[in-house]
Amino acid sequence: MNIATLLHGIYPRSEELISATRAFDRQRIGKSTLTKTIASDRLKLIRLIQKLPIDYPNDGMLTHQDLFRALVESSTNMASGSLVRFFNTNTFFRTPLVAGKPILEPKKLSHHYPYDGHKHTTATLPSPLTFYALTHYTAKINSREKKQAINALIAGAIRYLVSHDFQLVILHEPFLVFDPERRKTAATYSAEVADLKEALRVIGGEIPLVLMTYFGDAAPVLAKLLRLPVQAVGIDCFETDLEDIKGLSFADKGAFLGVLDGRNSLVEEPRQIVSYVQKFISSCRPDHVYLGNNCSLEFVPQPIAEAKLEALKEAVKLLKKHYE
Amino acid sequence: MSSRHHFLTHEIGSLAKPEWRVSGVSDRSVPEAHIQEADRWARLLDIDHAKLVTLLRQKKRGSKDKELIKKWASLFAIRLQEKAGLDLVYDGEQQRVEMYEYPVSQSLGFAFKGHVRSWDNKYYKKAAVITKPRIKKPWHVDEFLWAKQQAISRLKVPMTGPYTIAAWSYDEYYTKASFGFGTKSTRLLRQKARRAFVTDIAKYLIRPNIKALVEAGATWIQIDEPAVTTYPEDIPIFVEAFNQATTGIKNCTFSIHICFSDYTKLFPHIQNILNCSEYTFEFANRDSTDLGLNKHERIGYEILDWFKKYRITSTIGLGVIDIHSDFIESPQLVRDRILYAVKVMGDPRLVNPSTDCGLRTRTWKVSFAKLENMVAGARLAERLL
Repeated sequence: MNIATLLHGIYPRSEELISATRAFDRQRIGKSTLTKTIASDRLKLIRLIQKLPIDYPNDGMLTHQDLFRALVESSTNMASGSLVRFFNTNTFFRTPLVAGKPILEPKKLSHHYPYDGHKHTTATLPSPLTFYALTHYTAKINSREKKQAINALIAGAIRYLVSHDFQLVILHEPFLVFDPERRKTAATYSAEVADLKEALRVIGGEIPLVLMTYFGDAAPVLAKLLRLPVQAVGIDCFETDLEDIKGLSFADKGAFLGVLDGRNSLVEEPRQIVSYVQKFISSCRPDHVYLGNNCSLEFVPQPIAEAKLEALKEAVKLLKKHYE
Repeated sequence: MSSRHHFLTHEIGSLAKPEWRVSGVSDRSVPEAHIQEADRWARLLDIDHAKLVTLLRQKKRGSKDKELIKKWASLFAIRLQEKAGLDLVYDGEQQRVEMYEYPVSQSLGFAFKGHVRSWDNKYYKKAAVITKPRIKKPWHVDEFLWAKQQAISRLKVPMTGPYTIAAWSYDEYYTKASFGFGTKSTRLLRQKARRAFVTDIAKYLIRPNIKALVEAGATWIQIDEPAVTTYPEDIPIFVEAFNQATTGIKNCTFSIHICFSDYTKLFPHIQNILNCSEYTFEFANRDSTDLGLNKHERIGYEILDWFKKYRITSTIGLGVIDIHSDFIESPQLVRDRILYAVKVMGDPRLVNPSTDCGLRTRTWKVSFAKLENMVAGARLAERLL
């Protein structure tokens, strides 16, 4: 059984970087000082990643203000709108506004997905459904055109990442599974997965994709997701009951298990992670398993994120002893 | 409709901390530019500030000096709102750190873990509850008593509500038994834990604080609950907690402030709220800036239909000022937003114009202009009733 670790999403900023961003907003420091502080945080994270190690790391996305901003700021005909709560967190994103056909400017994207020779092999992008759902269209276009526009944008971002040696893209897809009042029907899931399938036809094929669901229970829709053309399907292990997905086969598909809770300050016990992963493997028989955070770790302070990654390291040591 | 109706105007709570207050409470010397800023505002607001200037020019300022500087900032904030013409004022929360950090730091049972992002480069210091919360000392009585001495206008005291304190905290106490991978029983345990946490805060933190304020003379307390729709299935918990905190407390008006939320989730549950005279919501953030009195222009106010549908008879604290932008709403735009609300609600007495939320992310110059125009807009609306 191939077990690998994966870090995705926005990593929490250090207290030094937090102070620097505040000082920058108050014009107490200039852009170059801020850039240096970001670079320093990034380097510390890279060193941590190398020390642990994390097999599929990212660079922490420390310049990203939310899941969408990098793409919005790198595209013409797009702007950032009003602040909206990001699902049921206490963090807000700016609504992406689409005023026409978005055209990606790769040079601008390079600021947010830099390639500087380090092996930051993964990149996180908003998944199509979540992007459609949380975007506001000021242009008069129909629903099909809206989806096509977003798909083209994501496809452009993926082409940029491929040309800069990124090896894996994690598509953040909370919208599909976020259903706290459990009102979604089978018909709704079918329609949404059909949209995803169409989007993947446009954006897929150039680089392995992980479809990462979180903030909700993936069980009602997982069987459908396993038929999508992605390398792996991810579940939020704090929201999805193993009992409900028992017997679902991950054959020829990877499973990404979000075993670190990005919204809880309590640090996971390595042995509990091990026990969970073993149950999952015996039940669902995935082709390979990635282990990592369920959502961006930016919802906890940096020291807690590091403690969680250490717990993951210990868990993986135990798992590799068992399986290899 | 009576043309003598007077729309009660108010804001929500926070104002930006002026530079002279920030540098004044630090250990740095206060730059001359900051002192001049204090001077400009003092002249506009007709404040005798000679003693403040002396204080700010001191090379060394001890803790008592810093506390005094904060009180000066409170005075300036009160006068700014009074000068703008607001009916209900407070001190811009100048003596508080932030709506979550301040009450939590004044309570027992919490441990701060570090900063997490609110949005962009704005963060808050997040704590975990580690044991049953208890009051350390009343949060706002000293600040209220100072404001009461200084204010000419009536005071409305903002206080963070129990659901928001719980939702914005990590839980290392109530949820410890249910921390783990998702199962049906852990999900149920988590909701039970949230209820226990929220209702303990209502009982042991909020209610004692409210009683202390009322004893000190507070006649209007606003309970701030921006997090209340975070878990829609928890709305009954929010209702229970509000009722627990306020029931039976006399001689005080209570209002609830919620913002940047899906307000539809509140219905029908808020029909069970007792003792809430006003719901103050954010609307301007979602609205167009076009003038007009029809649904298309006033798209931000759709939720008013729900208040009518569910026959909620409390007043609406109508957010007519967007606090996330420097755009200065014209009095005419404010007027139209108010008149539209009156049209929907059917009674001007059910509408109190307000800002969407606190103004702490705007400069004082922008805040003052917005508040002045809000009041002017209210007067224009009154003439057309």
